[in-house]
Amino acid sequence: MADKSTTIDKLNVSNRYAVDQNKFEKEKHLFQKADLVSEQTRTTVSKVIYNEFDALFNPELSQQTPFAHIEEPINFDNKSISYFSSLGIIPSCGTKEQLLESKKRIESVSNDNYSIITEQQDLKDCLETIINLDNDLRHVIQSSNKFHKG
Amino acid sequence: MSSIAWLEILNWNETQLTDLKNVGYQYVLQGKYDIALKIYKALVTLNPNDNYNNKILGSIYLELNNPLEALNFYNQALKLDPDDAYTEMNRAKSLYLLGYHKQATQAMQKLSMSSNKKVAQEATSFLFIL
Repeated sequence: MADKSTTIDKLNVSNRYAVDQNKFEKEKHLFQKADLVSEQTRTTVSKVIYNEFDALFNPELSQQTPFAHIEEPINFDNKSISYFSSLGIIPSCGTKEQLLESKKRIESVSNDNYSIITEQQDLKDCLETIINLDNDLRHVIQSSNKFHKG
Repeated sequence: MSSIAWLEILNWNETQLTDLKNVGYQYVLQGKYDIALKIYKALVTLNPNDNYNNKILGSIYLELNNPLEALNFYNQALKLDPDDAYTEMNRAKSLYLLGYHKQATQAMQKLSMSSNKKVAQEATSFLFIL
């Protein structure tokens, strides 16, 4: 844990969220008061306050990105494909021509239902995104695949 | 669940879905949320019952400062996995950003009692700013 006095100073000047200073003072007072009561109570109170202090002195906890606890979706069954996808390209989805064909098939679905049209648009956007992902690099890897397959 | 068999139309299976997930995640890591958004929107369309896709999409929307859409996908994710404490926390953050401070506080208070220490600490920390 970082030096607490430094952390408090940082909280005062640069924390992007306003820390409730009154609440901090109240907790500090309670903590000091805990010295006057029994060992058991002091331990219990200290434990509770320590946890709160711990959270307070780690303000970055409240600023975690929403991805902080989401793990990478690793495909352990097919490491080579995972390797290519780690480069940001998706050879398994087909060549540029195949992807354009897939897009045409998606477009050919005729439906005036709003949710279907939304799905259709989302899929088309995704296919266009895949097509536009570094085409040259995708071509190099597909050539490399053909070479390895003999 | 869509009435259209999109996977069949695309002639895709689990391989393509997994690759899309990986690629989308790589763009998340790079902070290219606009690209990741398009990939994960398609993934949710192709596989709406995948908790992972829904919570990632919620988080992308949260990063793109769209808490309303984020809330929608976090709700979907929690329907599929009601015990996912981190998704519950992100849902509470979305509520807070939408101005529902009371509901956000209630959710964070509940999470601050979690047996998962990391969740409890993060929720407690967040309560200080509410």
